[in-house]
Amino acid sequence: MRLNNSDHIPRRYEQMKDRELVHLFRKKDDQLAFQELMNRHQAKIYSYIYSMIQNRETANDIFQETFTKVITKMDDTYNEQGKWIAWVMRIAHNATIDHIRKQKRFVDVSSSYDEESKTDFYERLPDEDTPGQHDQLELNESTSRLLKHIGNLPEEQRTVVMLRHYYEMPFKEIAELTDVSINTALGRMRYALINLRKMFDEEHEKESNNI
Amino acid sequence: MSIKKTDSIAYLFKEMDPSEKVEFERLLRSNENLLIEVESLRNISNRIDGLPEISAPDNILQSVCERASEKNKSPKFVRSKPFFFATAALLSIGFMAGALLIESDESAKSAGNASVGSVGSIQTTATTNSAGMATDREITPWVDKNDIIHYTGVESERQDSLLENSYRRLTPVTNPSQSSSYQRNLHLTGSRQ
Repeated sequence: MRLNNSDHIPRRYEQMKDRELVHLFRKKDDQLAFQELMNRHQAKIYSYIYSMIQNRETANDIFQETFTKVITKMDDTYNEQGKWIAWVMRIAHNATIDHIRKQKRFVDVSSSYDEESKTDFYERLPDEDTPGQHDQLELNESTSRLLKHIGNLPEEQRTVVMLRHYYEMPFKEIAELTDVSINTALGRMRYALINLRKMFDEEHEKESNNI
Repeated sequence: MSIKKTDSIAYLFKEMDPSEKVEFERLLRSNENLLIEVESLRNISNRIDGLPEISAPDNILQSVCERASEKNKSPKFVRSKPFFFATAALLSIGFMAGALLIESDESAKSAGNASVGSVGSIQTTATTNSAGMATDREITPWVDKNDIIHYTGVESERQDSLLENSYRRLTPVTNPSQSSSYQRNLHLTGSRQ
């Protein structure tokens, strides 16, 4: 997904590898190279953050925070041998998880099922953290539903699903990023898919009953 | 082949070795429940594949690009080449001067010691602690041309008692083959003047 105002970027930049663009930006302060990198990756990074947080404003903040770190730390901590996008992704992931954990601490509720309200932690989260009336994104209905269900998954399952979907990240890399074994990462994906299937089934059942 | 719970995910997401894949497909043909699970997981996975990419808002992208363009505009001392080289030169001159000063100080000290007339001197700071001999003064042993050890900084009678003490500590070598390889060309001849 390209930037709206990216027509001025010469075609030769499109043919360059990420590594070359990063080098141009770092060593020659080439802004076009940075814009081309943004063109290539911003949507994936934003989608990951948004799908994890499911709030437009917060996603915007985390996206900006991520790129502020990318710009300021690129000279010091980025090693050009590694993939640039994997490095950026790690920053985005850490910023997102930090935010989610802060929120959890702030909300201070247990994730156990509440007998009284017949809801679990994720259902009891404030509305502003789920796509709904406050959300400014216009998505089609099935995408909205899917995002809502993904938002209801436990954080570690959601992380594996989104990292795999938006980055096609191998499970080995997901395991490294989330500091678990490959088997745990695969297991989380399995539980995520099973949970999503249950959510869709329940939803389908409700709709059938309403008819 | 025993089936692990994660095998179906590894198969769906193409994370199996070719041999594992062949074996798993063979199991799929013979195990209906496994086939149902895999197809059910595939169905959900396909739904996720349909999730679109969401672009960041234009104003956010613009502000990120602006920040990137400002990155190198902020004054950084290191980026000013003449200033960088001048600082580096000044620092290296400083270090060299410091090193020379230290060196000259040390050589002056060793020259002072040499003037005592020693052929080979060993500088030690000793704090002895035998009866009435506790002292913080610097005792410098040195060896004369005849390989006789002397101590500077000690009066002659103290020197005698010091030597006496040293001799008492000497023990005869019982097994020369086990003696340490550490050797010095210093002979305690015990000559007393």
